[in-house]
Amino acid sequence: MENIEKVGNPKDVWVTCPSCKELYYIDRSFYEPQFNHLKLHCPFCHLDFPKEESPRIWGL
Amino acid sequence: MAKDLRTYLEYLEKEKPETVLRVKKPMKVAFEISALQRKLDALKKYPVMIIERPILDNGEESAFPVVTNLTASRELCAEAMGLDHRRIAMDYSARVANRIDPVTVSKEDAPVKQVIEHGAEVNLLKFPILTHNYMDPGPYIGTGFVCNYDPESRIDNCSLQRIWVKSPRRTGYWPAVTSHSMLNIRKWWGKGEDMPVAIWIGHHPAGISGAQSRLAYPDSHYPAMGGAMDEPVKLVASETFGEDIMVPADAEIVIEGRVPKNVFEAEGPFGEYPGYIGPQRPSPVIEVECVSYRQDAIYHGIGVGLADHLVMLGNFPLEARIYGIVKSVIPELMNVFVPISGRRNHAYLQVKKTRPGIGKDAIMAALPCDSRLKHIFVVDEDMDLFNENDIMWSVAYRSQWDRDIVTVKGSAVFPLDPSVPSPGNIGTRGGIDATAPPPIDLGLPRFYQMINKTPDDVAEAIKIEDFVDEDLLKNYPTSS
Repeated sequence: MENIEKVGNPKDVWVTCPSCKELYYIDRSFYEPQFNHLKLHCPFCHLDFPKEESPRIWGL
Repeated sequence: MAKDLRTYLEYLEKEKPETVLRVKKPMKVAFEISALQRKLDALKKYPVMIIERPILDNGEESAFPVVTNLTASRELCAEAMGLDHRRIAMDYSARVANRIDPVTVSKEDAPVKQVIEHGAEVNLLKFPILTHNYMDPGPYIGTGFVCNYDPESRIDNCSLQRIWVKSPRRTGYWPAVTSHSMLNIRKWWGKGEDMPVAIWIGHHPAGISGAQSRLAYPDSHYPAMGGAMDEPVKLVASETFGEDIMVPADAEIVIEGRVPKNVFEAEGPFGEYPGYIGPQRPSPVIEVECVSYRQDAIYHGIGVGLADHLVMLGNFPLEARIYGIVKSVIPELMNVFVPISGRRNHAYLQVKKTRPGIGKDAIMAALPCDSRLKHIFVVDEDMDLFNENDIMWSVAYRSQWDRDIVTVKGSAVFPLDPSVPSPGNIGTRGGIDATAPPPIDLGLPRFYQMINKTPDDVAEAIKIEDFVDEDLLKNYPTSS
């Protein structure tokens, strides 16, 4: 079906840092098999963390 | 004397001092320099900025000054190449196509070899590398030309890529999937080897623009750089890779290292040229082994996402490319302008409308010229292509939305556009033919209502200066 409205699905995946709780976003390619193991890097407190440890994730 | 960054700055300060802003107060490399640049950009003021006392993240004053906004003014950029900014579409290609082979100089004759540091001596964080936007994870080199070579043909490639300095000897960087750099990475990794790279920073703006020119693959950018500068680039062998990777001898800084095989790390988020902060991505890294630089090196930073990032480093080559391709099928094409407002997504085309269909044909010819082109606006020869009021006026009064729009769904578009659905980066591109109807026959006028106009003789006779004081005129309110 043709999309005729802008819908709420974000382009990127939004995550929160498990340490500082700040919100930012990552490319969907982090969920591809070759990158699934990579840790994310919080741009605010610089914690490296597995994405599964993000307290809240939107856009998956 | 060979053209380089400092000969250009010396020229400006001597011949055009009004174009240079020297900041003598200390400014932090984290956000403060970018903040000033952003505020000037908002005022549409684009001096070349020299920050004499940049303060590093550790609180120390850097030994090296920063120059930024080097490529922000369209008029100044064109003049640096000896061109008229209104004729970039026509003349830029000729300059870059006039290839001039580089010359090789010895290490002793290469200013960039004045200081050479290896291994543990290397500390990229002593350079005043800017942090630009609030979500950037740290300092980013925005003006580093990453040089590598195709392991099959051994032909070199240069490309401007964002480089996040993570620690003294390790960086992340993001070559786009479709870039020639990424092609080379895949070839090296396919051979089971790390890819050697040398990154050079700082050169004459014409040289930088030539190095950024869009070429076939594989093809060396150094002859194009020479063409853009109208003189040969002086090259010197890199310290780590010898003549396998040559670097400009007159650069300010060269960083050498390797892209380790199959290593990806989180990189970004990073505020990019569209003016939006792109997401964190899995990206290759560079393990730095050597750095060489001038004793009094000038670090060239860039206003990411501002005019400094757009005018010369993307829009000039794009205008020339569109002109060349579209002109070959639409001889009535007169000029092309890629405005900073559209940040490489928009192009304005001017045509001489002698027959029906030219507008839409021009749109269809222009769209495939670059994956970043999203909307094409075609206007008549009586409009000022460089005045966006004229472009919008044409859209307002020379088009009907349903009749004059071209829409191409399902097209591959550049991933840095946040409106493009993901995954896939497949979106919609198109354009609007905002031209008036052509004459219905040869020798006839265009039967379209005439534009408001004072009679010529009266317009000639009435001069502003006869009625309004010049100083008062400067202070009268403007409108938009």
